[in-house]
Amino acid sequence: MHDAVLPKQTVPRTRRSLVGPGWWLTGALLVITLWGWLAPPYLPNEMNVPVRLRPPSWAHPAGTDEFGRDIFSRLMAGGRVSLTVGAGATTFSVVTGALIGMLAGYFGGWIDDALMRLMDAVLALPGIVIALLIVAVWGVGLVNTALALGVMGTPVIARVTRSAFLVGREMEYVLAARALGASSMRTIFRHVLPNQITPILVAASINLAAAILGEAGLSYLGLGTQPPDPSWGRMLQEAQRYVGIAWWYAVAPGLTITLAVFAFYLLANDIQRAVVHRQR
Amino acid sequence: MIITMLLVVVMIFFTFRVIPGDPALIALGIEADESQLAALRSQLGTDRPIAEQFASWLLGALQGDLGISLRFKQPVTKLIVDRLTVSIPLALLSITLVIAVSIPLGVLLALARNRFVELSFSYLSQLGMAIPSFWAALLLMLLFGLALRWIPLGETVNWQRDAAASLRALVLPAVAIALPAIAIVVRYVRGGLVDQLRQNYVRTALSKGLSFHRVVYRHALRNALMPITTVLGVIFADIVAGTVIIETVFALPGIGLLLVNAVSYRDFPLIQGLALYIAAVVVALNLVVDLLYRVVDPRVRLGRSAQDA
Repeated sequence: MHDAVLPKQTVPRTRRSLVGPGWWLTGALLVITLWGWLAPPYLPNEMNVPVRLRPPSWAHPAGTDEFGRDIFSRLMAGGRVSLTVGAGATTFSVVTGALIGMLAGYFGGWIDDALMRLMDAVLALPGIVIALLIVAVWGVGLVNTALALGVMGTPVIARVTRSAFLVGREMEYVLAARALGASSMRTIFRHVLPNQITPILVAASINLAAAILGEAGLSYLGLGTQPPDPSWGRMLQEAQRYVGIAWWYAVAPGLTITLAVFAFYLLANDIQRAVVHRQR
Repeated sequence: MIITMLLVVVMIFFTFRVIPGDPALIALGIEADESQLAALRSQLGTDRPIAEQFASWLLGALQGDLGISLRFKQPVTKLIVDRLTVSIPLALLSITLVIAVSIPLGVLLALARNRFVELSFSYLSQLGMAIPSFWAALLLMLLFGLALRWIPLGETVNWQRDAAASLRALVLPAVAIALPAIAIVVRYVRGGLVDQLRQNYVRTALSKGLSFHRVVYRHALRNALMPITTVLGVIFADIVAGTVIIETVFALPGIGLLLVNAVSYRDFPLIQGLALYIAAVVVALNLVVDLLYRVVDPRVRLGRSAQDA
C-alpha cells in the first residue's frame, strides 16, 4: 500500500529540478514588466491616431488600440499595476491571515472557535462580492483595490495556516521549547512558523494568482484600477466594443492575464515540489 | 451555521455604518442641500440611534422587507426577485454543464494513466483555471456570435415572450462560467478516483469477478464523490450568488449586474440587501451539501460523530 502512495523516485536528485517552469515563467513576467518600466518600446499613453486599430506587426507586436497606442507597451505598463496590486493584496492576506491562523491553530479552544467563525462569515460571501462591497464603502483606487483583494484572500490563508499549526503544535520540538521556558510568541514565530512555512507559501502563491485575476475582474467592471493607470482588465473592457473588427485587441490582454495567473499557479507547484524534494 | 449567518448579518450591517462620513452625503454628493440630506437620512434611518437602526433593519429583513432602493425607487426585495428569473436558470444551466463534462472527463483521465496524459493534464487544467471567465466570454462571443453566427448576440431574457430566445441568450454565458469550473472539478474527480482505485476494496471487488466497469462506476466513483460534492457546492454557491462579471459582459440583467450597478451608484440599501441575499444563499447551500453527504455516503452522521466510520 505505502509504496503506491509515495512519489515515484524517477527524478534524479539534481539541484536543477528545484527550478521548475513556474520560476521561469514568473521570472520572464518580471523581466518584461521591468523592461516596460525602464525602456518601453512606446510610451503607454502615447497616441498615434493614423495607425489606430492595426493588427500585430513588427512595429507593434500586439497591434494598436483605438487611439493608435501600442498594445504591447500598454500591457507592460499594466503589468506593473497588476503585479503591484497583486503583491500588495497578497501581503495583506498573508500578514492578517497567517496571524489569525497562527493564533487559532496554536491556542485552540475558544480563540480558535471565535476566529474561525469570523472567517466562515467572510467566506459566506464570494470573493468578488467582498471586493465589491469594500469598493462600495471605501471608493475606487489602487490602494483600495489592493485592500479589497487582500481581505478577499485572508480567510483562505487563515485556514491553511491554522491546519499547519494544528499539526505543528503537537511536535516534540514545541514541547522542548516550552520546557526551556520559551514564551508563546517565541514558540510560534521561532519554532512552529519556520517548520510549517511551506503550505503558507504555496497558499500565498495561489493567492497572488487569485488577486491578479480579481484585479482584472474589478478593473473590467470599472471598479478597480482607474485611468490614467493602464490595466489589463480595463483594456479588455475597452476592447469589447471593437471585438468584431480588431480581434487582437481583445486577445492580447486576456492572454497576458492567463499567462500571469498560470505563472503563479505553477510557482505554487514548484514550491511544493522543492520541499518534497528536500524532505526525501 | 446559525452563528455564521448571524455574524454575516452583523458584518454587513456595520460595514455600512462604520464608514467615515454620512451615507446620505456619499449617495447624494456634496452639492446636495441640507433639506435633501435630512430627507434621505430619515429615509435611510441614519438619523436614529445605531441599535435601533440595526433592530429595525433585521426585523424588516426577516419579514422580507429590505428597504427601498435609492436609485430604482423600488423595494429591494422586488428587485432581487425579478432578477432571479435570469440568475437561477443561468446557474442551473452552468452547473449542469459542469457536472455533465467534468465527471466523465475526470473518469476518463483517471483511467488513461500514463506519464504523458498525467503531465499534460496537470498543466492543461491549471491553464484552464488561469483563464479569466470574462475573457473566455469575449472569445466565445467572437467565435460563435460574430464569426460563425450560430448564436445571435443581444437577445434578451423574457420567458413569457420567447422562451427559446431566452435559453439561447443564456448558452454562451453558461459555457463561459462553466469552463474554469470544469478545470477545477476535473482535478477533484480524477484525483479522487485515482486514490480510490488504489484501495484494497477495489482489488477485492475485481478478484471476486466483478467487471472493471462496474467496480469503477459503482464502487470507486461513489467513494470519490464526497470531495467532489463539496467543491461542486462551493462552485454552485458562487454561481447562484451572482456571476457578477459574466452578467456584465453579456449585459444579462441578473443578480450580479444588479450588484455592480448598486455599487456604481452607491445605492446602500440595495447593496446591503444583495449582500444579505448572497450570504443566505451560500450558507443555505452549505447546509444542502452537508445533507447530501448523507445521501452520498450513509456512514456520515451529521455533527462529527463519524470518526469510527
